[in-house]
Amino acid sequence: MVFVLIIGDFHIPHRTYDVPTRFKKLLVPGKIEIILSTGNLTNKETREYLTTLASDIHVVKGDFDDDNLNLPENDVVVIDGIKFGLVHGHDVIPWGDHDSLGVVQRKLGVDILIHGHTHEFSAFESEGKIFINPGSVTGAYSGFTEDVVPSFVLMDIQKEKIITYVYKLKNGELEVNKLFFSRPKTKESDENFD
Amino acid sequence: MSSKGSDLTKRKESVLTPRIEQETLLQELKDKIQRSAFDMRKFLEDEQTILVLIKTTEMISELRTSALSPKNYFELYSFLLNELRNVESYLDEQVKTGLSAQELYKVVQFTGQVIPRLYLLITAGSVLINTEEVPIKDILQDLNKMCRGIQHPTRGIFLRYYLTQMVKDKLPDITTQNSEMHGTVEDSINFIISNFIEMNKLWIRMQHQTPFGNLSEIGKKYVHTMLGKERTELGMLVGTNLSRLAQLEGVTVEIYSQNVLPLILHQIIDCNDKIAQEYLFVVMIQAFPDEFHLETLETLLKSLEELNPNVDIKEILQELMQRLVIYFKTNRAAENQEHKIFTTFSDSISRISQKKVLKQTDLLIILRCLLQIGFSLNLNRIDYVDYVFQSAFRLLNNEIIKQDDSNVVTQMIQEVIQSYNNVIVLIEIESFPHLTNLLPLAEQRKIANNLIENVLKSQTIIEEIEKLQRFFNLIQILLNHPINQNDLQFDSDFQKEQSALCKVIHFFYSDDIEKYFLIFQLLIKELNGTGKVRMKNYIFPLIFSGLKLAQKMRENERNKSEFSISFNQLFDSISTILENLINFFPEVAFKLFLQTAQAANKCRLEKVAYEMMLKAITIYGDVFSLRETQFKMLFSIISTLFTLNYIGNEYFSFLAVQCAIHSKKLVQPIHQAKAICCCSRFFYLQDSLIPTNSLENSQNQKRSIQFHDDKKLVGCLSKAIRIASSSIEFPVSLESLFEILDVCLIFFETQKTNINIEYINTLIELIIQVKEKNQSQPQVLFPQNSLVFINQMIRKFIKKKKGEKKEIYLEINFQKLKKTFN
Repeated sequence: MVFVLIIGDFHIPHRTYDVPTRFKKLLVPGKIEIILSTGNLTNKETREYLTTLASDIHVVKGDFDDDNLNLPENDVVVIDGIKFGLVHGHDVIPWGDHDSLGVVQRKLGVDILIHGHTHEFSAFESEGKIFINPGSVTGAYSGFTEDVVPSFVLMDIQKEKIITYVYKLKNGELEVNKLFFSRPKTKESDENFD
Repeated sequence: MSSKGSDLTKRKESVLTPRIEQETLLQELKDKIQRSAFDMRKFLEDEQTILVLIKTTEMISELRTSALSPKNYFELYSFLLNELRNVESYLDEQVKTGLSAQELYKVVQFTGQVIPRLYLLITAGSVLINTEEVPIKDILQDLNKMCRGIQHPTRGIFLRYYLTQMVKDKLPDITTQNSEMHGTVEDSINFIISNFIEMNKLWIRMQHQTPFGNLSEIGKKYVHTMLGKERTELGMLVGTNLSRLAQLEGVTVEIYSQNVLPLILHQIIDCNDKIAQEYLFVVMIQAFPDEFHLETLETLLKSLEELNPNVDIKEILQELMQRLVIYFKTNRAAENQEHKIFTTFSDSISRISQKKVLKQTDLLIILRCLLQIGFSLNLNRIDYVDYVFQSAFRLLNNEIIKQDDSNVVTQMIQEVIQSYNNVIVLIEIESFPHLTNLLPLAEQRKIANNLIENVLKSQTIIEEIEKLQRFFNLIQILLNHPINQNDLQFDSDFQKEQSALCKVIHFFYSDDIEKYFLIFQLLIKELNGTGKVRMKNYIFPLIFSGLKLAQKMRENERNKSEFSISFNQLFDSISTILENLINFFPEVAFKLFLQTAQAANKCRLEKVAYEMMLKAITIYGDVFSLRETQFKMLFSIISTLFTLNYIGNEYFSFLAVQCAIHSKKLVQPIHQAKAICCCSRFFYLQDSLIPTNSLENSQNQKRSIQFHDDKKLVGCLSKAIRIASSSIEFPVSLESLFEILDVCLIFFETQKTNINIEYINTLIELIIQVKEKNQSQPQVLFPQNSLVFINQMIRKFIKKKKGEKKEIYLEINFQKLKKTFN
């Protein structure tokens, strides 16, 4: 069991002031082993907040992140034998497009692609690969998405399956959903290849 | 040595001897007393009263000395006191068994020397009181009168102190029987006050004695100072009268205020002695209950103002006010009283400060005490706080506060902030910003940061424009204090401070559009002129505040709620701010113009969205086209344009063409190819091809106007292919070609463009050619991840042959691709 926190698009202090209190109460150190953040933090303070939650942290550069943070454009992390790709998503054109995301996934050669930018949670499977967008943890303003709902994702990687917990704050009420995925196949079978 | 000692004891001149001699002398006298006491006790056991008295006289004689310092005299006195108490008990018993107290009283007056005579008289008087044969009042008056015989300060004080100690528990009070013999509490009051007055006079005279021998001026001064402390401590003896007075049950608040207090104050003021006034005033405050002080507050304070100018009034006031603060914690003042108490204090302080006797720091300390009073009376009275701040401000005369004073003022302000802990309340204190403006820079910043923290913690939203203006007045310093090199460091306090300020801006909004617009204008006014360094931070929350307002306006419009602000007003303001930013921070302005375009689009303002895009493109053209990061900037423009689903075809196609033109000018071919390929998608936008497959949001992203320009579409794709195949190095060229093929297939699937079977197959042939041309390179140089990527793409394509639209793929030659790359 490996717990991975997938979180991003804070936009503090550009567009908002803090992670919602309701979420802060849930985000306590101890359980979380790895953090994969889609970026747009945007400053050092927020980066430091992440360090209070876990020690293994991966953050990629969003279009508003402070240059001084020296964040990479993308990242590939292997967790429990699964290859994760991490991009912010503002350079996946068009934003949120499944095909374009698919190209990125293939380019990085990963099984699960984590992306953000749209400030909207999404999770889908395509040809055995998984695509997760944790949304904006602060529910920050977006010129692209209306009615942004604060959200983040906690992934529990188990032997046979991956349980994805989606936390949302709808009208101040906490909503938790569970999604089940099977572990992506790393080697593709040649059955369909004719 | 001993002879010298005895010489000294017999000498009546008031000459103080050096300290060591003092200690020796003291010891000698004590020994003498001890020896006499030894004998006395023997006679006591044998009940030989006369001899007891004689021995007692001997002991008391030692108190005739002038040679001891006050402290040493006190020790001698205390030593003797024990013996005298024994004598008193003995005489008391004797009287019970027949000895006549009245006769005793008369007889002891025949003692030779005056000191022993008076001590014995007091002792006898004490015994006489117990018999109740004579009115206590008469005895007390007689003793009082007799004590006047000793005018030597030290001896006189101790004599009277002995008097108080002896009659202490025998004074009439309302709790004791009220007979003719016994007397009333008035008798006690009169006696104590009279004694007090006499002791005070003696004490004051003591301080002005200069019983030195032949010493130089410096010598005299030094000794005077050293002894001064001892003499001052003797004030305690004088003060015990007041304590005893306060203990009388019969001293009610009425009697206190009408009879007792006037007399005490009269003596204190009249004596005009600094040390006495300071000491006794405080003792009086400490001895009597706080209710009494409240009742007589005006009188007390007025007399404070009449004290000797050298007196430290501050100490006295502090004592009084601090006591009352504690008192009010458990005893609420009556509502009508509350205000009167505060004004009594404030008026007095006002008068005191006008007299200009106190130092500024002391007055500030007193104002702080007044603040505490205000809090303890009624926390809801902000006007009390305002009064104190105003007074402090006037006192400081508009000058920057110096170090010592700034501590007091800062403490006052911190206490206020903590007591209310609510920014909405704090901003109502009118004189708050005036006062903080006088503090040193560092203090002002601390306070301002404190206030911001308060808003963040309490998550208080400020939506009234007057309140917001006041808030900004209070934190002005953060917007304009000088910035030094250290501040510019990444992690400095300044950066944290500015970050907090940015956060707090998100609490300034309203659901009421008109109010929100006013807030936005206020934000512009306050933040816009703060200079380059600050604006770099503020610009984001400022602009997003405006964009959020636009969002709200759109929401209201949809709900058919009316408002009087026009979208153009708003977007004009935003645009102006960004214009002014271009020269300083072009990249930031660029990003924010793109954001504004998106916001305008959501509001269905196609012209505004178009203009914002143009501005962004202009900046790109002027500033970025020569930089390394240019391709990122262009991709930002392209990706933003995709989301503008409410602008008409004319505007849209113009912008799309601009993007395509700039794409061709990118420095690196690989970026050129990617960008132009992206641009091709501009030229076919239909409902089903909305550039987002997000199910939840697709309603909102639906393009309202259909757009299709086949010529440009094909033109872009062909150009991309040309660049990829001829200008990009192998094998990256292959990756680019596959990405282009991917896009081509999207168009192919629609079956509505000129991207048809021939086009696709031609492209596939091209890809194979490119590969074979470079095939001479050994396989090992073909990077693994490239190969994996390409094969995955081929897999994806082949899957389409089994998918929904498998018919159209029948003649596409994916197999050939597969063979080539396997």
